[in-house]
Amino acid sequence: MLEVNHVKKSFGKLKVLKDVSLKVDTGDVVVLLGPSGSGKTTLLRCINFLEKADEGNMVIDDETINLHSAKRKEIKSVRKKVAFVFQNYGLFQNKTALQNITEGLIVAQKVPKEEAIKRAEEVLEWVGLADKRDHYPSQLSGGQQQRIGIARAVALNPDVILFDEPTSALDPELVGDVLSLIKKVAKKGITMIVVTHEMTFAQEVANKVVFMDGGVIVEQGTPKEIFVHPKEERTKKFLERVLPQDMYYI
Amino acid sequence: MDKYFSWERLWKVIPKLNEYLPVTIKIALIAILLGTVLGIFVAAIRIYKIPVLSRFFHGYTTVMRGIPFVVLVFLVYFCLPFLAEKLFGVDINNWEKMIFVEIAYALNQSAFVGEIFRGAFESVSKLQSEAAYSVGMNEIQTFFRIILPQAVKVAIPMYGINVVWLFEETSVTYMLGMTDFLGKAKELGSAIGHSLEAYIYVAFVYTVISIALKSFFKLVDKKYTFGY
Repeated sequence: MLEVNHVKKSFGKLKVLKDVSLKVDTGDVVVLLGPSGSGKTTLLRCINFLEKADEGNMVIDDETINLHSAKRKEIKSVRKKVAFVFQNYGLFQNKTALQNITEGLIVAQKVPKEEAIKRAEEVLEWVGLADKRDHYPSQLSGGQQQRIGIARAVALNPDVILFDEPTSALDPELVGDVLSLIKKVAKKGITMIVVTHEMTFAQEVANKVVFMDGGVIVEQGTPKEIFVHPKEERTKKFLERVLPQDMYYI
Repeated sequence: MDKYFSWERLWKVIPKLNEYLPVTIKIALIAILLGTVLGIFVAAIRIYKIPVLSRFFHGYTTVMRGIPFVVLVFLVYFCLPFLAEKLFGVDINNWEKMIFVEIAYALNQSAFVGEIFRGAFESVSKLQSEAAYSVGMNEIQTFFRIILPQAVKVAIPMYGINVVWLFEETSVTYMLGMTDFLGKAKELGSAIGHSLEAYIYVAFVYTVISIALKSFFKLVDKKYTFGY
């Protein structure tokens, strides 16, 4: 349902993505792994047009869109189908929790106000933060902010949600809550691409693991294939460093 | 005692001085309006890094912020007619003095207010606009609904201080021989040979208005918290 083909992106002289192609099926939970600087985040950002790729295209709902020269209308239609969860939450600081969720619905998707509020209240309830409805982001903990960030993405009713290291800015004791919420999103059947360093989570939730290094996809497969029987030397090296002892079977 | 200060004289000068308070307020209001509009203009050029102009206004801002306002008023008052005649052959010597004062304010405020707005806009994280784009908002919606409110919030305290400063600084205009609030006090002093009463009242009114302005901006700042 979502495909990216031959994506290339450089920042100045630094080639961050060197011809990356990835195919995601409906309902997939894809975990993107890799050392920092390997291009995971940049790939996600290119899919949401937060970064303009130098080359490459994406196919979504049988529509091919150029990642470098997409028209405004095309970008808008992609963003309607693909929501984004940011590492640093990205909540609107001047909006309450509820308004953070309704803003995109009302302003971008033109959902009537009452309906948007109703939907936002339902989602807030679903993420367990109904009582924080009228709180501003500055009044919420990191974990709560990220749960609102996820609620905002879910409320937009997207086909795909991109998670960019959703737990790496959180205090360790808050990570669990957010991860279990992401699992809950996965259970809804929403297609997800998740950049994360949480290996246990990757193994439990993903049906596809993609390992990136140096701007290319080195290896991809089921969690078992990647975690238990990695083929590539680079993948093995990386997993040796990051896998918790009890998951390390190699 | 009567030689220096008398209550009777004070009560007498108050209504005469009050007649000229509107002059001062008018100077200040026009200056605030001009300064804010031009300040936003200068800030926008620098935020969007418009080539050439951005560099020009960087230098401009540095220079303007370095010139004391009194000096700037004199410079404008004495240089502008000369320049106008040399460059355009226009005689502007009989322009109203207030116009020169407002031009000085425009030059000064476009630099100061421009810096306040530039700093405020740059303090709003890029993540805020990215988040807005990601939920499908366009540039204009993002600017007016997400970025501007946050930038204004950051700008309010400094902007408020600037308005208070600007208001108090209108008093330099009497040096051009303009009869504003302070100018009238000086005039009355020479006319009746007693200056103290008028100056005390002038000081009192400036203080009250400054406190009122400060309180107003504090109130706006408090109302506009986003939970901080």
